[in-house]
Amino acid sequence: MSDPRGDPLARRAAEVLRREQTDERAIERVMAALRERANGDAPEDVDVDHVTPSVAEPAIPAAGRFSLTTWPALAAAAVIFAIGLGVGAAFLAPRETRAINADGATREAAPVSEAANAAGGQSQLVEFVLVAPRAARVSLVGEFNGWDASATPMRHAERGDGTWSVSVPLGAGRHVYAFVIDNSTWVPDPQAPLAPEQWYGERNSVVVVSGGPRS
Amino acid sequence: MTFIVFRRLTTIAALVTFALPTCRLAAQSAQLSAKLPRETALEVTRLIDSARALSLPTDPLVGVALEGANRHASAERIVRAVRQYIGALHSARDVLGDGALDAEVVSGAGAVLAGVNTSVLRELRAARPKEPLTVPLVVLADLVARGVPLDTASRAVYVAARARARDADFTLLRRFIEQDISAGASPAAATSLRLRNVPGVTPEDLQTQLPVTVPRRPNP
Repeated sequence: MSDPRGDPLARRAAEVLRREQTDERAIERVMAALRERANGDAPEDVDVDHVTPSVAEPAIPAAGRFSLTTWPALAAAAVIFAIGLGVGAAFLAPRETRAINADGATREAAPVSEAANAAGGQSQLVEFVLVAPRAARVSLVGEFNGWDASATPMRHAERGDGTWSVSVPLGAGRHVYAFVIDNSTWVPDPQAPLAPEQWYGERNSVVVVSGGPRS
Repeated sequence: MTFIVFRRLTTIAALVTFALPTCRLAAQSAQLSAKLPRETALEVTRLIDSARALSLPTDPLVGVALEGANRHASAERIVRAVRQYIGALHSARDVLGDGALDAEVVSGAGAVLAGVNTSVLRELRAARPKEPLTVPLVVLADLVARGVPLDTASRAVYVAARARARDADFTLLRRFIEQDISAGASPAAATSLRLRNVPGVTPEDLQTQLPVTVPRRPNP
């Protein structure tokens, strides 16, 4: 019998046996393989991993240890939470969920993959369009981007007719917005309802995305 | 094993549920602090906290403050706007009820700010008890903003609501009136004319008066 420390099968078997919570059947199978090897019955290239396929997974992770199984659970929780929000919103607000715009021709709404927004409602992708042939730069400002003129720049249409557009996911509710032309001139959307409130002297526009939380 | 996983999922879901509003508050506060002078941010935050205590929607209030900051409005004006908005939201919520959608409350506040009497909101709620009032209220406020007299606009939206007009019908009504006004029609005449074309509105409906008296005064 050769020195077991030099035998790869024996070395791997020892490793397996040192692992925590190896089950009894596995130990028996390893020992049987070793006995066969000692009797000269087993081939040199015995695959220890096939001999010991059932290294037991701990049924309950040791206390205080952050096991690998936590991550699938976390992911599953997130998915369940998102689905729950979506189902809840659909149940509480069983109404059609589409963006209602002043002019369907200029702002099409379509569902987006986000199941729920922070407010618990459903998000819709709303396209904003402005025709401004002389503008060098147009951006969209509103409650949804903190009225920050640098947050949502609009894209100039390649066909060169002065059309600027951008699509933004909006949660259910009433959203007030405006366009900023060349970083200086704020204008309401000529196609949309006007917001009645003029806090700072100029008009804004309104878009409504149906659904949403109750007070 | 199943119980352990279920318990873990429940714990995580509960943490996420309670963490979201906290994150939202922190985000709102950070936005205000980043854009407003310290004293103004504190005052606006205090006002928004009071609105939250009354269960009023707070996102529009943050929006008003940030709009003011980006339009370079004075601190005084920003605080005044937030305070005034809270008053309008409160009035709208009182009339529309605790079960109203946030969007209905915000739209109702918009209508109140446009000069619409809260009794009109109450009649609209009664005329359309199960469907959301968000779009009719947005249309009403838009008509008033375009110069349609308050009583004409209020009656038109009330008649359409009683006739079970859908949101899309209100949207079309608004668009046609806007086009007529742009073409030179009188706002009141355009509204009366276009109301006839709303699906479900009968000639008898056109004679319907609002159960409440809306003062015939110029729009604010």
